[in-house]
Amino acid sequence: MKKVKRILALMSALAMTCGMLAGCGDAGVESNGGSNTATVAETNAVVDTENMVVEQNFEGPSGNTPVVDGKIDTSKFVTVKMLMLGDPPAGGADKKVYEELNKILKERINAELDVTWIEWNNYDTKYQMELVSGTPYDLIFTTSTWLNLWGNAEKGAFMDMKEMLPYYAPNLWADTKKEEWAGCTYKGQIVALPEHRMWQLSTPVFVYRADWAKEFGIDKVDSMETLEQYCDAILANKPGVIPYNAPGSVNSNELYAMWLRQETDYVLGPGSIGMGCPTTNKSKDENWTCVSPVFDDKFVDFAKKMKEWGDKGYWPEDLLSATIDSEAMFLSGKSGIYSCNVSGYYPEIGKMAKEDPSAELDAFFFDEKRGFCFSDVMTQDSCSITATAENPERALMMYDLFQYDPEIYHLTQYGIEGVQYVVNADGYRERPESYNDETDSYYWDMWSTRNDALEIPEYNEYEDQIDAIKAKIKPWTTVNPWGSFVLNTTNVDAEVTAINEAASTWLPAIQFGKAGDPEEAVAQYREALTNAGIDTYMAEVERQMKEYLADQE
Amino acid sequence: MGRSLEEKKKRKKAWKKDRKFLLLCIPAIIFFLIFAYLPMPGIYVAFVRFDYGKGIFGSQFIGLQNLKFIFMSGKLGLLVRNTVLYNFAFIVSGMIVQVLIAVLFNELDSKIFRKYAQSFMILPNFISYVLVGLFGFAIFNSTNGVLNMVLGWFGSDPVKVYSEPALWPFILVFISIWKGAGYGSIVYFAALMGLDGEMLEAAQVDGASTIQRIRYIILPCLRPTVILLLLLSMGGILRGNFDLFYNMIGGSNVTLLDKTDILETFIFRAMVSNANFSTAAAVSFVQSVFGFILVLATNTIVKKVEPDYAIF
Repeated sequence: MKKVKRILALMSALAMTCGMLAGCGDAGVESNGGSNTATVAETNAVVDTENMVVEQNFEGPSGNTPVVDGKIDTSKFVTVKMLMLGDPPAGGADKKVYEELNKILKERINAELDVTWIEWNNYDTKYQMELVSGTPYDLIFTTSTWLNLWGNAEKGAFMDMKEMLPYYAPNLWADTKKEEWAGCTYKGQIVALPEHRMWQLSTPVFVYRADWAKEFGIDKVDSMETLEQYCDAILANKPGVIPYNAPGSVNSNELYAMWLRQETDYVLGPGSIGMGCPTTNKSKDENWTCVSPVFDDKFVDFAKKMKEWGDKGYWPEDLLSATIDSEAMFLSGKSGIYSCNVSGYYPEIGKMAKEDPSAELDAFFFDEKRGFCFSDVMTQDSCSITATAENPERALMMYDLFQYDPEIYHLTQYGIEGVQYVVNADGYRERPESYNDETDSYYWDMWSTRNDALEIPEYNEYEDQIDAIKAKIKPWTTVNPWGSFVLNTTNVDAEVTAINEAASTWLPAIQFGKAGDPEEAVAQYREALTNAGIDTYMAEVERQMKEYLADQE
Repeated sequence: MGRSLEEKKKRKKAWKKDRKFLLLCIPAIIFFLIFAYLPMPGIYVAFVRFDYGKGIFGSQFIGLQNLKFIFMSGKLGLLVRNTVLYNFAFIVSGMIVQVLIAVLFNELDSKIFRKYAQSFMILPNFISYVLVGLFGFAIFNSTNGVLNMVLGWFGSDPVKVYSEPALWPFILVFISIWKGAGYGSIVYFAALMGLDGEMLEAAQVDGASTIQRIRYIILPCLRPTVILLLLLSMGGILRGNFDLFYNMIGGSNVTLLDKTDILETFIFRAMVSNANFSTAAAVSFVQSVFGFILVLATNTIVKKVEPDYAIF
């Protein structure tokens, strides 16, 4: 189900936003922007979470769960209606889990949960219908990347949770940083709950053979210079191996991604178009800008360098017309580099160990030099309360338990212990022997309640190595600074399409040094972008950013 | 009064006579109604700024704005030239080779050989362009391609086919012929099968040579088929063969683009990371309209010259 969801998310992300790159596969460049979100810079008046006054008495919007003298009065039994997306588990095991859950909820907060699913088939229409018809869901799944969270918020579909949160969801309130709340805020109102405790970071890497590097006397590949040494050494010492044996396609951007992060200050965010990303934001600090690295003088140097690398034979001569399985090449030792996202690096460790136990892997993290990487938006998967909700207070209390209470967390995420999962002697989660996929299959599609701190991991042979990688990159995590800003391309649709065409024509060829004379090629690329109206486009992005910032104040 | 009554009677009679045939037509009519005419209002998507929430007919009407990006690129002339010229080359060369094959098969005496040869020639038609692209790469690539290996035996310098634009028109036309000739020749062959044997016998008796027989009897007999197929292929002359171009060349081999960029590959590059249905639909719509006009025009010309051969 997760897979389905991911595919759907990816598809709709691709479809609905043109300025985004889904950071996976052979895509090196990955943008955090597009339709997305998270914090609004310090200059913006966001919710001032630190100075909010918590009173001893609070009525709450519904009055069913008032706070009296600092205590929450739950004497009235209520039903919390929740809407999730997905096909309900086929065997109906979810019902049994909810039964179990409701027993605990009755005891703890005198409430029960009533779940409605929206099946994947035609989900977007059905979802909008539910919102339009005003069904009073207390908790409703939403996302800014594929279910138009901000658009619906604009129309007033969701309730502002700002005032309720400190009373009814104290754990969540305390555990969420100011900039994380900012990513859930629309015009001063907190309309969504963040997906923020399931840590993930997508940062592009070149996986390389650490054992070969050692052989060549290279300590570590962590810059364009060391990468060059490594590739030269492969050409000199490993006959039959192509340093980067990969195909080129209209989406190729890995070397450009490397260059952006190694040699410049540019960052990808809202306004970055397509896979070629000819427009970016100026830098981490000057992020409310839209500029083009292609027109930077350094881009010519980059083109020249890549031509040099291409001529030396770092990649196949005809790669732009070739079909090559770069992963297979890497695993079979015919390539020295594998380009992927960090999430693609983890499984590679196991696969390589199977192919060649003597091989050792390491990765060149493009982001290491700058030491930061923007996280996904807070509202990639999110939860809101509809404006018509009847029990928003109890809903928040429940949500707080979903995410922060170990007992309820395990029950909602994994199912009933002994039926859906057991914890083995080593503390790993596994399927019990009695488990039957047809009758016992269970999943929880309110993805934003996931919390790393309460996870019981499944066994993975290469856990130590993966943990080491995660420990290395975790400090780079930087909350996506663009808040709930969404680029509206209505005025520049033609420009976006034309710029995409120019970029997918020229970038792959330039970054592989296959466009003839580099200076001339860059000049042609720039001309194509100018013809495509890149100036109009950048002006429009900056105009919208200004407008957004003004709106937030 | 009397006349119209008579006409009515006549019509009734015709109806009675033809109704069985009309009944046979119904599945075809229903098929086209459902799959070709019912979805037609969807063409409207080409003229709107498509909004998922609002659907095709709820989205904002923007006219021909969706086509603006092609003009912005300044490449329209090149794209149309390449697309039309390539298609023209494919159609003409394909036709000549197909007719030639059909005539040769017709002259063969051994039925068994003919059957095997025919099956063998049809084979390429069933190979997908993805595989053809891989074959192509295996032959032409400059690192370990077959072509350069063979050239090496003769002491020639290797040729970098994938960075040599001048070669590609020939390669592409050759592949198109190789893939389509066997299959396409069947239609002509069938037309020849229907040829009146007496005519050929008479020619033989009169002492016509094989060449003469082909020149004066067989080829003229194929003319209606040639014209009909030409008319049909005119409709698609602005529609490039994306499979062929994309798989043989790849998406962004800039050095070859001058000679190989067609409308389809251009649009592919523009849309690949930006799923804009409306723009794609708009381009396709223009291609269809253009094809439609071309079919009508060609048909009118044919009608003037050879009224019997026109489709309608």
